[in-house]
This record gives sequence, structure tokens and C-alpha cells, in this order.
Amino acid sequence: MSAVLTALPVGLLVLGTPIFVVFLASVAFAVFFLLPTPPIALHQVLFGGLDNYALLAIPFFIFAGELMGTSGIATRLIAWVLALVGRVPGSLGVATVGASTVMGAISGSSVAAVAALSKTLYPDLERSGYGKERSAGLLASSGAIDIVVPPSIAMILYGLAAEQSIPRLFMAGVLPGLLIALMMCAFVVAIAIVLRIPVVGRFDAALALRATRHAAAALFMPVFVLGGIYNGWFSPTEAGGFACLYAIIVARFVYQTMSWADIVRAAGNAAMLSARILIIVAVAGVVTWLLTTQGVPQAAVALIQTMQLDAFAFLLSVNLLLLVVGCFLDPTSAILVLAPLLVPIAVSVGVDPIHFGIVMTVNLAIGMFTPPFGLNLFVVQSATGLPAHTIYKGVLPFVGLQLVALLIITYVPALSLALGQSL
Amino acid sequence: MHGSAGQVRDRGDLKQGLLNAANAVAGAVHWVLGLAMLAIVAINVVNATGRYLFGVSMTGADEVMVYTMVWMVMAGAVLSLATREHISINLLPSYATGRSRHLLNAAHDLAALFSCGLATYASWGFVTRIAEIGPRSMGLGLPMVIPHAAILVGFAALTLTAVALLLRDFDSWSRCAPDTEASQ
Repeated sequence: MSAVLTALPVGLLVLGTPIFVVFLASVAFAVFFLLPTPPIALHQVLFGGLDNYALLAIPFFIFAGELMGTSGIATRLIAWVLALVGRVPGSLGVATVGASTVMGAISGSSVAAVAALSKTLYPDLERSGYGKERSAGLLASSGAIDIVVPPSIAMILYGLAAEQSIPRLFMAGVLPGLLIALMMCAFVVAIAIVLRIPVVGRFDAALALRATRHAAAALFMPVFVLGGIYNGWFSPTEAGGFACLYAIIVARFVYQTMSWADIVRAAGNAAMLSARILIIVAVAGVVTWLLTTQGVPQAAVALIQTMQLDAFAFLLSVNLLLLVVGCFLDPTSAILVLAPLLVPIAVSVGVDPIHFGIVMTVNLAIGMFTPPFGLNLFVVQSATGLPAHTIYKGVLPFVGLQLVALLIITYVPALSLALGQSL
Repeated sequence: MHGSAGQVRDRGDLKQGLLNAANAVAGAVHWVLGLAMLAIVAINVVNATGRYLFGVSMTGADEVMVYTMVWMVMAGAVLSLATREHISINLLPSYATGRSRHLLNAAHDLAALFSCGLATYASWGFVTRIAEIGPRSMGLGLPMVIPHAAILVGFAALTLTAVALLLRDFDSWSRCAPDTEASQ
């Protein structure tokens, strides 16, 4: 049975079959042909996987991201960051990282941010001396920050799968997200100095003030959303709804860049993307149920306990496992399937589940741009038209850089836990 | 000769007509999904504002939002399958050209047909049983067969979509049709 359940999904995955079909085919095969389970259990678990109020945060934050991209909020944020870092060597590269961080604090969708940045900044990055490879690498890898900086869809899913507080996870992601952003900025500045990339513009206080005024409404959005969650005004799910309302008001009445028809179209696009993610959530729930009923998590915990791994060795092994998984599976699927398996083991060896959630999130964020299958690689490819091998070469230095950040985040738990202790 | 050419033209017209109809349906579903998304945002905001500012919350608001989301997910999944936009590791398909591309698509269709067909069967068993028993939701008193039917209808539509895609991919494969047809 285990041979079939390994070969079938791997084969389908490599063939490029939709991931929800990969999971469903494996589970349906097991339920109908291998196990004595009644088939109606499949329906119950599928429905149960979606019948969850907290999941509404996913379509809400995706919709907020879609509005950000189509209303010009993203463009104003990019212009704002660029105006602030105009004097810094590699300012355009630093602006890419900065804009990605700010967008991450609004939407929580890495794909939406990478698509918006690639369309807006790639031509300028390439022209200003970064070259095709490095520009593509920077764009694909900067999307990882969006997954770690709150609000984060990956963290919402981890919170649900591992039964952990989503506000605490959001808070725990702030410092690791900023660490990755700072390390990337430093790396980009170093590249700019070595390659003698000319500074795009000089710092102009009047320009910076004007850009801040233009982007003020957009910049207030993360303050409103995250401030609302931590002041207890609304839950993370409700915050997603308020983020959408705020973005609609800004797009329709403040910037006046979207008609009502545009807003309905954007809502439809967000619904479609949400459906593609949530159908995986439903089916991954069945995979987890199947593994649990077969005693896999319990067996894994027992195995790790016999190996007598300490927290250090466990986290190292988990990092290696997740990096490999992240290259082949999107974070949504990986978190939903692996979190219920790994969290009990992590707790049994003394790792804080909130810290473990951040380690998982950072690992899978790196997987988003790790060749050959990282999702952001395909987003950059579709936005820039570059061949895959050019993008692959470009991301490798950034993979190395973020692995260093991952090691720091893994072995300095305070980085993840310091801010969340007051909650 | 004329009869044969006319038949080919009629077949072409029929295909184009079906394609246009499918595109019109897809556009309408996309529009409805957009309106549904706006509706759940509005319910969420009104409900949260009422609860925190006035201490009043709408009965069953959570149920309406979640059940709407379940229907939206299934409708969006069907549309995404039809347009081949589901999340996948599409490295191999991106390099496949000509007949191999159609063959690869047919393999995806077969996997979707098999898995969604079995899910439909499983769901049919559950939904018919719940329709007989007649349980209702706690907040609105809504018959639970309504939200559960989203899974049945969704997977049945996914199965039918997979059949349609499979037929088209085999047709494209047998005619050595260009790759662009695979994404129409």
C-alpha cells in the first residue's frame, strides 16, 4: 500500500497534474481500493476541511492583495520606497525588497506581490545594471518576505493545522521577516557596490514627502489591519474583511482608479485564486485524516523518540526535510500535510510550537523560489518571459542568503518569540 | 466532396459555438463569484462592526459566509479545471510541445476523472443520506443538505469537465493540433 501511495502522487506531481488531483487521486485510491473505510467518510472530511470560519481570512487577504495590485496601491508603495532609498547604492534593488515587505504587510499573498513587482520593476532593474538573471532572482526571492511578514496565509493555515494562536504567529513573524528583508537589502547594496550599479536618483526631501502623501492611504492599511488585530478590535479573519473594505474605499474614492465593475472583476479573480488554494486545503485535510487514521504521526513521534534527537538535531533534520519538500510542493499543501505530523514531535523534543511555525513558514517561503518547482519562479517567468534556466541561475545566491537567515531564525528562538510573549 | 467539406465546416461551427457558450458561462460564473465575494466581505464587516460597536450580531452570519465560501470554492475549482489554471508543478508541461502536450493533458484529465468521479460517488452516498435525515444548521436553521450539496455538485461538475477536456485532448492529439488549443 505504501509503495502505491508514494509512487502515485510522485508520478502525478511530476507529470504536472493539479495538486488537488494528486492528493485526491491518492486518497480516493486508498479509500476505495485499499482500506476498509466507508467511502462517505471522504465526503465528511472534504466538507469538514472547508467548513471553518477562520479559513475566510484566505479569500479576504487575497482580495485585498488583488485590489492592491489593480488599483495602483502597489505602484504608489514602490514609488514611496524608491523615494526614501534614492541615495542608497542599489536603490532600485533595495526598493524591490522594501516594497515586497510593505506589500506583505498588506496582502499576505506572495504570488500577488511578486507578480506586481515583476511587472512594475523588472524592466528598470534589468536596464539599471542588475542584468536578467540577478533581476529575476531578486524579484522571485523577495516574495519570500511576504510569506513571513504578517498577515500571512501560510501562518493562518499553520495556526489551523497545529491549533496555535494566529495573532501570536503573526507577531512572531515580524522580526524574522525584517531580518530576511535587511539581509537581502545588505546583499543588494553589496552587489551594487561591486558591480558599480549607478544610483537611480538622489534623496530629495520634497520628492519623498510627495511620495509619502501619495501613498499615505495605502501605508495606513497595515497599521489599521494589524493594529486592529492587536488592539482586540477584530479577529484575524475579520481583519481580512476590513482590509478589503479599506482597499475598496481607497481604490474607489481616494485614488479613484477603479470602477465598481473593476472591483467586481477583482473580487472574481480573488475568488478564483482562493478556490485554487482552498480546494487543496480541503483535499489535504483528507490526506492528513488518512495518515492519522493509519497511525503515521504516532509512529513518526515514536521513531524520533527512539532516535533520542535533541531540539537542535530535530530542527536541523526538519529544515532539511522541509527544504526538499518546499522545492516540490507549494507552502499551502506542505503546511497542511506536514504540520499535524511534525508539531507533536517538535513539542515532544521541547521546541515551542509558535517558533516551529515560523521555522516551517521560512523554510517553505524559501521553497517558493527554489528550483525547479518554486511557484514564484513561474510567476516571474510569466511576468518577464525569461527562460527558466536564467531565473534558476539568478535565484541561487538568494537561496544561499535566505538559508543563512533560516539558520539564524531556527537557532535563535527569541527572534520569533520575543514580540509574541505579551499576547 | 462538397458534402464532406460542408460536414467539416458544420463540425467546426459546432465546436466554435460550444467554445463560445463555454466562455459565456465561464464569464457569468466569474461575475457571480465576484459578487459573492463582495457579499461575504460586506456581511463580515457589518457583523463585526455591529458586534463591537453596538453589541449586536447577525444570527447565522458565520454560517452564511462559510457556506457561501464552500460553494465559491467548488465553483471556482470547476472553472479553474476548465481553464487549466489550478496550482500545479507545471515544469514538464511547459517543455512539452505538439502531441506530447496533448497526451500530457489527457493524463491530467484521466487523473481528474478518476479522482473526482470517486469523490462524487462518495459524496452522493452522504448527501442522499443527509437529505433523508434532514438535519438543519444551528444558526439559521438551514437544511444541511444545501451546504453539503456543494461538494456533490462541485465534484460532479469537475468530473464532467474532466470528461469534456479528455475528449477534446484526444481529438487534438489525433489531429496533431497546435499546442495553443490546449489552453483555449
